[in-house]
Amino acid sequence: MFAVDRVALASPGARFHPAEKALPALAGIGLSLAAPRPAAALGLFLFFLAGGLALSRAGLRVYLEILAAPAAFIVAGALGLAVGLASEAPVDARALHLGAIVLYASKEGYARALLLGLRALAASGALLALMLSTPANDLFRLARSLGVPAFLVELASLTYRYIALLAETAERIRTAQECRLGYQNARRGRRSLALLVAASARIAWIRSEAAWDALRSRGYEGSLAVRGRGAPFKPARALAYTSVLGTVAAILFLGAPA
Amino acid sequence: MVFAARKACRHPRSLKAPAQVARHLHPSGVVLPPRVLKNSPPPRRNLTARAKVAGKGGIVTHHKKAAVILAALAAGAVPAYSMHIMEGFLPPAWAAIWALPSIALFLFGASRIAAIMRENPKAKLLLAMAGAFCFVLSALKIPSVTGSCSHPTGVGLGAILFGPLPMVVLGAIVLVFQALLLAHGGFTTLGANVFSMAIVGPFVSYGVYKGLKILKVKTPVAVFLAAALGDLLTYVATSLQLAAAYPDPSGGFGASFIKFGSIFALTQIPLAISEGLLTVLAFNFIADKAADELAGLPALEKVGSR
Repeated sequence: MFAVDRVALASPGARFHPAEKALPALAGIGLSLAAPRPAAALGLFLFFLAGGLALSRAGLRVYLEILAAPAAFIVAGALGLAVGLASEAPVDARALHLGAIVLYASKEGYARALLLGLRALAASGALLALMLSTPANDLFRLARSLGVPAFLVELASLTYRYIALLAETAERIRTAQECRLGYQNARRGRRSLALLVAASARIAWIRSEAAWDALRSRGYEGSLAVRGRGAPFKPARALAYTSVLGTVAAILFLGAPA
Repeated sequence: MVFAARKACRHPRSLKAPAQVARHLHPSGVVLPPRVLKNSPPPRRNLTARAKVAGKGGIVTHHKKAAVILAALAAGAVPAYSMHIMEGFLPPAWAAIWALPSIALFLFGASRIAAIMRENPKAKLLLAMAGAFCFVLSALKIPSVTGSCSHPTGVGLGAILFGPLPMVVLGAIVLVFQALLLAHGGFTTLGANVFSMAIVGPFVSYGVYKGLKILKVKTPVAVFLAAALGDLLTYVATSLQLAAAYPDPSGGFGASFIKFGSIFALTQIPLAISEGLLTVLAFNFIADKAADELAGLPALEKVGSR
């Protein structure tokens, strides 16, 4: 089971209707994109961090472990903005001459990368607050109520279940291969991984056949009946979360130092 | 116990005695021959350390310096997973621009899938399992030719096995789950990520594979080129998307594309080669060991002719 999934299923925030969390999360992503200064974006991220931790009770260490991968993507993207390529470097920039072109790093580039990186971090924080407090099944329920075609929700819902099954199988195969020194060097590793992929494809096929037989024998007629948590949607709560977020954002946007 | 065993398997030299490794490997205490342990891989090369050593000699040119700096930055910064554009990274206008073609192709793919499901309800489970397979494939660690580890995009194998149109829908669903379960990518950048990873990659892979098969190129070569080029073109598309959204203030779009392309190329070219090799092996194993079960897949129908 994935860390996000585990935290979401155990989170106290999971008992709320998903729309109550999705609304402020989407507003938070929008506000993050509009953050005028790095300090404001950082402030928003810290707010989402606190909100995510309060809703999910994940613990800071787990939260940071989950955030590590998105943060690495953000750094990779921001890196391209921090440096520039031109035939001549700006006056105040640090430059590295590569024949006819110059690789330079200027203050403007750093500032641009910093602002964009922190905006993306804040937006990821908003998304993470939603994910860590909302199990995937609740999101499928929300998608269904928002009018997403039933067959797509069904397909996504089945895929979600099979991901857990296949991931566990792949994990077991991998552990067995590692214990037989299957990943001792790159060549062996590539061969072991190819075997793992092939075995997973075969198992996926066989399990889909078996699942079909099992479902048909239980009267399956095209849709899985899954009980949700059934918490009613409380617009007042969604509005309260969004208002608090709006107030914090307004304070940060107006008052954060440049 | 499993974690201890894994640690021992990955870093056999980090332990003091071979017997200790063996104990970690198997609870029954089976001792592995020391010869196996002696064959552990050489220490990984550290680009930054190499740069320092080269610098002491004073023979590093600006070109080499730049390459070393970029390599060190990229090695440290470019994540192990396939390159997603993160939530909030694209300006709203560009997010919308990339979402439009993605939505169009997604709807086209979805209508095809809906028709398939109407004709054959059983296909729903197979498609769901195929989506899960693509997700799990993208989450596996792959040893890269540079010695580091990374993760395959899985688009090549998926497109060859399932075709490019179902891969658009499956790829979009996988990207949603990557955002939901792994925090990779996001909803505002979903259109851009679907375009690069679920449209460009699969269509390139499928086109290359089919084109080479028409030219009667051997299946392993066709599979390798399809997977490697599909992987590479995915990153070219991502670089294009980032360059279009953030053109260089001095050099414009072209300079920005070179910048992003260079950062990704340093890790992605070796990764594309690794993924190509992996896909060939996996395809061969599937064709040999699972051909009976997977006989319905288009890519395996004529596999006997290779």
